[in-house]
Amino acid sequence: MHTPRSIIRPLLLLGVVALLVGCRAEDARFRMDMVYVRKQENATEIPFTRAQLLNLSNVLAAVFGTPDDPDILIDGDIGLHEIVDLTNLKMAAGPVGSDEMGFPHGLYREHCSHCHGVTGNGLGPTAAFLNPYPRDYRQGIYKFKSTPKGSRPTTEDLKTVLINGVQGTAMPSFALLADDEIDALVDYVKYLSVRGKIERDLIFEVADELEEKELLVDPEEPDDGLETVKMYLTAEVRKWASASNEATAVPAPPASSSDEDRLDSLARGRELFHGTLANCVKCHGETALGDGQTTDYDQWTIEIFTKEPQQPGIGEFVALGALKPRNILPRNLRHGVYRGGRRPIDLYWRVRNGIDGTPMPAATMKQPGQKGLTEADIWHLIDYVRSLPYEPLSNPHYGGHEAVVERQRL
Amino acid sequence: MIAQNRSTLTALAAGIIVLHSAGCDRRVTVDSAPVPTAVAKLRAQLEAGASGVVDGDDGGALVEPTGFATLRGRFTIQGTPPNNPQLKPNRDQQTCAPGGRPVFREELIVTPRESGGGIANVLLFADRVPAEWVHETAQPGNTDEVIFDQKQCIFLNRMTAIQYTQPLRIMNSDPVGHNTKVGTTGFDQTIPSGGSAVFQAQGSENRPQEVSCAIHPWMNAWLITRENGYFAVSDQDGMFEIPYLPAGVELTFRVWQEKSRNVQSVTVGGQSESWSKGKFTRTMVPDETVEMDVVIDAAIFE
Amino acid sequence: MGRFWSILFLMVPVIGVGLFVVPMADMWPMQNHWLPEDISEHGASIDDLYYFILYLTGVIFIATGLTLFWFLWRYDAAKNPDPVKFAHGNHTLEVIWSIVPAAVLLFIAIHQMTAWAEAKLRRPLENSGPDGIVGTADDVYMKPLVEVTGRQFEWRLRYPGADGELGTRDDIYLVNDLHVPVNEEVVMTIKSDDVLHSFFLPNVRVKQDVVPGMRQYVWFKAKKIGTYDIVCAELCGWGHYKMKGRLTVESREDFDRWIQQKYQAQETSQFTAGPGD
Repeated sequence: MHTPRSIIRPLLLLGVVALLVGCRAEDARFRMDMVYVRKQENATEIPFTRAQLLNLSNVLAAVFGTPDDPDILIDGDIGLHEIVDLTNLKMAAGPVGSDEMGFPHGLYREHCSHCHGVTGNGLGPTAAFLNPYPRDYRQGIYKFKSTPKGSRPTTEDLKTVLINGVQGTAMPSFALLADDEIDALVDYVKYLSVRGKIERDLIFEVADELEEKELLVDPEEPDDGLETVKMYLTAEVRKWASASNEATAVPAPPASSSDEDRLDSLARGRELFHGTLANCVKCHGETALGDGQTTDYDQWTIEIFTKEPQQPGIGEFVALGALKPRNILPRNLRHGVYRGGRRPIDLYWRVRNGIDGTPMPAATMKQPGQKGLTEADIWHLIDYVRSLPYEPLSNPHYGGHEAVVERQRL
Repeated sequence: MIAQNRSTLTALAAGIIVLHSAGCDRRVTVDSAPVPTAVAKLRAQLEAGASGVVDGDDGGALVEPTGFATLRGRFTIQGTPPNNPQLKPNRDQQTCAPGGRPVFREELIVTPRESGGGIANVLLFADRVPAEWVHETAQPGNTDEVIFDQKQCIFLNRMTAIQYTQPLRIMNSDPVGHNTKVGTTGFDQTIPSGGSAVFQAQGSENRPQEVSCAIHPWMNAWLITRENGYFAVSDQDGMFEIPYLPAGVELTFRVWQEKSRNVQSVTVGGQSESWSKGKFTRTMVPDETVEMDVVIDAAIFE
Repeated sequence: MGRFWSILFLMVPVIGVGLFVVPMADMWPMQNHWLPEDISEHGASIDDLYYFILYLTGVIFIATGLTLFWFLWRYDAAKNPDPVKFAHGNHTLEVIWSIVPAAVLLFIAIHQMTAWAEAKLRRPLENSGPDGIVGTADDVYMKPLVEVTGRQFEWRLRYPGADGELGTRDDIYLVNDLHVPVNEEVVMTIKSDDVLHSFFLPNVRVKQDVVPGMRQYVWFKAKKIGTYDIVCAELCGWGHYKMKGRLTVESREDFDRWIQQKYQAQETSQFTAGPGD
């Protein structure tokens, strides 16, 4: 005699068993930038075929390897092996663990991939919960560096970010890691960045230059395609290699021996901050609270999200994995939290070169016969900015007390 | 009765699963993992190095131009153009929207139908012309400075085309400061009121870069840098002309307009043509002046 | 079958004792599982309390465990066919085993008061103020050596710099890298930037939850030079496991030199591009 109940128990058991067995964890692999692919498809109104994407995937794997087994093309003309070291890559890549001799591997996966993603795309599992979002390496744009906009960061810049973290964000300090581990991670970030940029360039090449359905590297006639790949790779590697030559020198600040000098500097800085030469208040606000222009977006967001009032199509990009767009807000200078570092040279670089990927512009330096800022002007500005967190306006006291409860005894 | 319910439920569940996995969008949304055998083969080919021919067109006999010709014509619109979107200036309204006048993004500028319906600011350029074919008047290396100004929070040129060797002097004729950024070139500087800054491009581009302002984010314009002089931007009446193009060889041209981006479906001389990715090819006869009247339907600007 | 279960119950005191004896003797497989090395001055008083309670409860634990086993074994139903005899309780016994533990607890409560006071109540004084009496309102507390701010997922440190005042322009900002001089009473002020964390220095026996909106003080005196851990002991989010810092105890000269070096690095105002990376 069959009653309904006799079916439920075996079904329930089956469900429990299925849950316990679970799904097999996917092997780590590089993800193609489907958001960029879709963007190109929208621009040309010609969809990519599965064969084209697979071909791109194969080409990138041939040049760069996989997350468990990275590779670099040793080619004197390209020079990739001169900016990253394969031993470092092997230390950073792969699953977390250490070999028989005790040398670690999987450093990137252990420390970085949960925010920055296995592909270095800033889309790791925790990325959506962070504000600001983690960096996407694939455009080769980095905010806090010593080189001007449009240049790559130097190795020292990347190391500084790893060691100090980024204050005010979820990027932690890795100062407690061994030096060789930090070097390995820096090289791996460069590797992912080069790989990501080449991927974008190749996607653009397929979309913009090739015929519909044409493969980038035809298996029968590979030469043209491979030459194109090498061309893009050389160009990108060259940018990384020349970064250290492009670092902006920071001159010594003007001597200020007396208190009067310092007050003069602050007054001049304040004047520049509010003036039309530097235009600081336009974005940072009259009170420097960062409320001057809050409707702008950073470079990574702008790519998928135009400033059109109608904001078309963001849904399809989010469905492909892009993070929800957020406005980029100018820094509240009264907090004393400096993301790119609080040393005077860091602040100088921010003002002089702007912040790449954000609306913070570079300063126009004074040329003969033209308006602009002098180096002394920039130091006066920095003096003023550094003094802002200590002004009474920046430290509100409630009823004369600090805004915390002080607990003297437990 | 239970058997009936169960089979209905199963059928329903199966149906939902099938529909969900089939989906509606035809485009490929999932990328595929690389195939090891293909990867190994490509790797071997990469390491073997290139075998000579670089970026060849078709191989075989090399064609040489036999003279020079001129391409000129007009871009006109058929149908009623859509209205340009209105912008909301949220800063410096005294300068940018004096007297509260409305500000529009002029992404489609056409003359009225009576005057011919010409479309302004359409970019046309010759793509991938080998250096040895270029006429001396269009040779790369032009270093004449080009002025690019902004007034009342409007960039005075909506579409600018220059050789990448030409310096672009970005001026600011407003009483307020501007921050001018040129796309992804890395140029992003404050331009003091009454001041200027020079942008020097690094190379040739295939698509225009957007010029914008961080203080006034609603401002925009477009700039393309090319390696030779074979480009033209249509004027107020939609007219364009590129002289001294190499004749006797097949040339690829690209057409780009701010609102439609690549101009893809057009009518030329009564014949409808489809320009995939905005590209079309022409082979011209020496000393010929090719007249192209390109009619673009208003629908592609929606 | 019954006696088998009583053997099982015997395993409870046996394994329970084993789980303490094996790590205390640093035997495999539980090496390094016992208390972390104590390098602080008052850590001994806390550890002593810990051991006292451990041994006291241990003895009672073993006694009760063995007693339970004995009764299960001796009066197993299979081996005792006689009918059950019901005992009506023993009033004296019940009084004894209520009063004795209460007395013991009272003893512990009073005995530990000094240790608690030293660790949590008696914040170190700079001096006892103009009246010279400790414990009055005019006492001057010792200035903190460093301000520790717990933040998801790191420990942000702020040293007061040359002027000795926190919140001035010469403060030195660091992350996760805490240095203190050896053989000196060190006071730290702790707070949180976002959620509950717990500032835990295992090797100096300091642990205090940092509460958002509240400023608190911890103090200790480290007696041995070396590097030790800072750990977060209050679940604070997905990164709680990696919220680790490093405590370095060093000589006063080394400490001064280190802090001076950090200050100089923070004030770097000149940069010339080097020839290469």
